[in-house]
This record gives sequence, structure tokens and C-alpha cells, in this order.
Amino acid sequence: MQIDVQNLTYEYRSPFSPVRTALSDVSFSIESRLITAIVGATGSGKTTLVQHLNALLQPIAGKIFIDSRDLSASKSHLAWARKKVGLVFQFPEFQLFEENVFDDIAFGPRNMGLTGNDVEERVRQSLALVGLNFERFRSISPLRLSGGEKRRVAIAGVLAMNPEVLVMDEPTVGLDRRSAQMVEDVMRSYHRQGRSVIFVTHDMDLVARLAEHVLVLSGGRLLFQGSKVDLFRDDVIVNQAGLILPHVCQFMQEVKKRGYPVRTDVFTIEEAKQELDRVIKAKRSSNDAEIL
Amino acid sequence: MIEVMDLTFQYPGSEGMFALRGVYFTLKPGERVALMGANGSGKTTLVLCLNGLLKPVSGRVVVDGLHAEDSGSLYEIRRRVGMVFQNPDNQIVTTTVLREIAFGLENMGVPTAEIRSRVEDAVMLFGLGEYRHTSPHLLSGGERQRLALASVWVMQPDYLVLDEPTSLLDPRGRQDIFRFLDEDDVKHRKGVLLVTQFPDEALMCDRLLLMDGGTIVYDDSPLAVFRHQDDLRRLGLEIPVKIELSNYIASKV
Repeated sequence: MQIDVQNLTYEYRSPFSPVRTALSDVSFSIESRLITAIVGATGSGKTTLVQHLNALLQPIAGKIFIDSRDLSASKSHLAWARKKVGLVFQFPEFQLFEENVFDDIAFGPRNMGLTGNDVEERVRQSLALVGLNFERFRSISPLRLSGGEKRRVAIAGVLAMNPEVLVMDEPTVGLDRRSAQMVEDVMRSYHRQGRSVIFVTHDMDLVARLAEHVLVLSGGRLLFQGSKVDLFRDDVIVNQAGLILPHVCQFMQEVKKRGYPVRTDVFTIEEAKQELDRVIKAKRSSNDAEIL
Repeated sequence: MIEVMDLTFQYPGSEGMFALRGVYFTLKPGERVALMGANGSGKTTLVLCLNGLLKPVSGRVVVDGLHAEDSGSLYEIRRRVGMVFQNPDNQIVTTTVLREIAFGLENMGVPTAEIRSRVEDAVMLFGLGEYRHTSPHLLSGGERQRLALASVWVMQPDYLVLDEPTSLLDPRGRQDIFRFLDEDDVKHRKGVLLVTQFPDEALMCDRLLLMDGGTIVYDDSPLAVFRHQDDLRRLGLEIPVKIELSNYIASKV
């Protein structure tokens, strides 16, 4: 399910406000089965961009191809895109509305024409994916859930439609560590099932742990597309886009400044500990050699 | 000073589940206090009690000697305790950025010329210069968060209670908020309570309160609290990366 975006331009127009150009001539490709992060300063166009991927918005100029289908070519292409690309909004729990969790999650599949056991199967699978017990949660009102549970139910509602591409706009914002970890695990497992996952985030540590491919937006333009390794090596782009390095990279840079030859392209705490181990051991044996 | 004494709160219909159980803490002018805890630990409930939006079952909230249970004191308490909620859309009410920032001042009866200059200061301080006449719904999430903060700050409260005010901001934006709090400190010495999920933000505060199950389990300097690594993990909280890795190095050398 390859995504190709060509020269995408979008402006927000409203009778009583100045025109706001949100995206300007943005072009990129996302291959199938990748996990891609979209990052950039607030207002750089990230949400506007992802809302084009499921055809919620249509470009003012430029084209979007999903699986080689031109979304502007016909209405049926738009409808098809909305089935294939599932978008989870920022604070998706504000869209929970049914009287119980089952019905809220079933809404999407029912709208797709599924009935009876097929619907129940979808609800079961998606609750399992987000780590919530089917029997325990199915009849509860979504409004009675904790913030983290609400978020997961909202995500399940999108997963229940089985999209080929899962797009998440700031999925971990406002969640505590435990819930954020669960959402991260959802993205990881969905990706392992062979789907594409795209997530917008400000959390560079999440990008470091999860993303393979990164798009960087700045002022509505694409500043960078490539691997996270290449991105975090590039101080100029990181600064220009108003980003920071993941905390682990920052720490390793500090250690390196103090004269220890550590690699700085490590992206998880475990990798950092291994790299620190390596350098500490090496220093010890070189010290021993000196003493001898 | 904000004094919270033996605060207990139960949401109606929650059958014996107390959202707050005997909470004690103080916040003095000039202090910056971080409040962390897993979702459901009582942070937002505590925040909503601080300016009388929620009434406790027992215990007291006293702001500069004014009692929150005294309805006659509530106006003055709310003037002194500025609150910014986690989702900016829960508090944005008007149709342009300028109107939004001016809203509170107009309600307080501040003279028009003064409103204009104070609003302008807020617009510049919070980087909203391009969006003076823009409708808030056309702003990004992070920009709306800055707008909510600007609208509260402009009323010059003595205390700022911020419920995860940087969650939608990019890393630069988060740094800017702290720069602004530092500059503001120099002039106004507000008391700041910052609810956050970011351990590195807690490191920039004077004290860190940790909540679990409706009570405060730690109230100490951030470094002291972060020493309890096992407890923090059990409570589902993060330790700053640099502290965890520094401790790791120290254990090996």
C-alpha cells in the first residue's frame, strides 16, 4: 500500500480570517509496511498532511496516490481510501459517543456493511489489540473509563475497520507512561502484522524507539525525508525544524564531549547501556595495559 | 500561599472510590512545584479543587487566607489562581485570538486602553503575532495551547496552575514555556503548580509531588524523588533518561 504525495498544497480559507497556507508543494513517498514518523514544529502542517491521507481533506494543488490510485480521479477512489487508511485524531476520546464500548467500536464496521458475528469478531480483535478485556469492557459506557482506557477504545474503533494504513495524530499526548507504552505497543504489533503505520508526534524519544522512516515538516514545507539515523545526525535540519535530539542521543553526546569515544547514534536506553558497557570495558583494559 | 489540608474528594456515584484521600500540600509565591502521577491518581481532581471548581467532601483549600468553601471568596480566589486545562478547547470561547486573550480582562472591568496594551504584551510573549485576527479553530493544537496560557497569564494571577500545558507543544515550544516562566519569576514571583508527564520538566521545578491512588506519596526535591527508581517504576512513572544512565555509569565504575 504505497503512498505517493506529489506537490501537495493546502490552504485554510474562512470568510473572516486571513488565508492560511498550511502545506506548500509537499512531495514524498512512503513504501509499504514501514513505520513512519511525521515531525515538525507546531503549526508546520502535520495534522493537515495526515488528514489528506484518508481523504478527509482534498488538496488545493497536487496529487495523492494510494496504491497507485489517484485520489482525485473519482469519488469511488475517495471512498476506497477512507476504508484503507484509518486515521486516529488528536484526543480521539472526544469522539466516543455510543452508550457502550461495544457499540462505539462496532460503529465503523457496521458502516462498512458488516453484520452480526463479523461485527463481534472485529470488536473482539480490536479490543484484544489494545489490551482491553472484551467481557469486562463491552457493556461499559465509554464516559466512565479512565483517560488511558478511553484513548484505547477510540483507537480500537479505528482498528476495527482493519485499515491497511494506520495513521495516528499525536497518539500518546496526555497519556501517562503506562498508557503511552500500550499505545506504542499497539503501533508496533499492528506494524508487525504487515501494515503501514504513520504517526505524528513531538516525542523524539518515541521516534527513536519506533520509527524507521521520518518526514520533517517546517512552515508547511517538507524539510527532510529519510531514516531516523540520518535525521538525528543532521544538526542543521534538527535545528531548522525546531526539533531536539532524543534524550538518549543527547546524553551520549554529553558523554562523548567528556572524552569517551561512545557512539551517539543509539536510540534506546538498552542500546545506550550496551554502548556505555563497551566503552567502560575498553577503558578498563587499556588502563590495565598501561599499568602492566 | 495556597494551603491544602486533609483534602478528600469522591465523585458522585463512584461507590467508595475516593479520588483524593487526605491530601496535604502548600504552594508559596515564587515556588515552582511539579505534580506527577499515573492517570487516575488524582492529579486533575486536585487541580480542580484549588480554585473551587470542585468541592471536597472534607478538608480545606485556603488561598491567601481565603477559604474555597466560602462562596463569597470564590471570585477573589479565582482571580488569584489562574488555571490552564489540559485540552485548550475546553477553555477557548471566543472567535479571534485577540478577543480570547481580552475576554477575562473585559469581564474584570479593566479599562480599554489597558486591555489593549496587556493583550499586545501577551500576543508577543506567546508568539501569536501572526494570528491576531485568526479564529482559534484554525490554529494548530500547540498554538491553541499557547493561546489558553496567554489568556490566563494576561490576567496576572498570583498562582498559575497548569495541567499538562505543554503536551501539544513541540520541544522548542516546551523550552519556551519554561523560559517564559523564568522571566515571569523575575518580575512577578508567582506560585506555579505544573502537572506534567515529562520527568525532565519536573527537574526544572523546585519540588516534585508524586500522587498515587489519591494521596501524595512523595513531596521533595526532584532529584531526591527520582532516587526512588523502583517505586517510580511500580507507579508507572518515568525517570529522566540522564538520571537513569548516569546512575548506570556510576554503578559500573
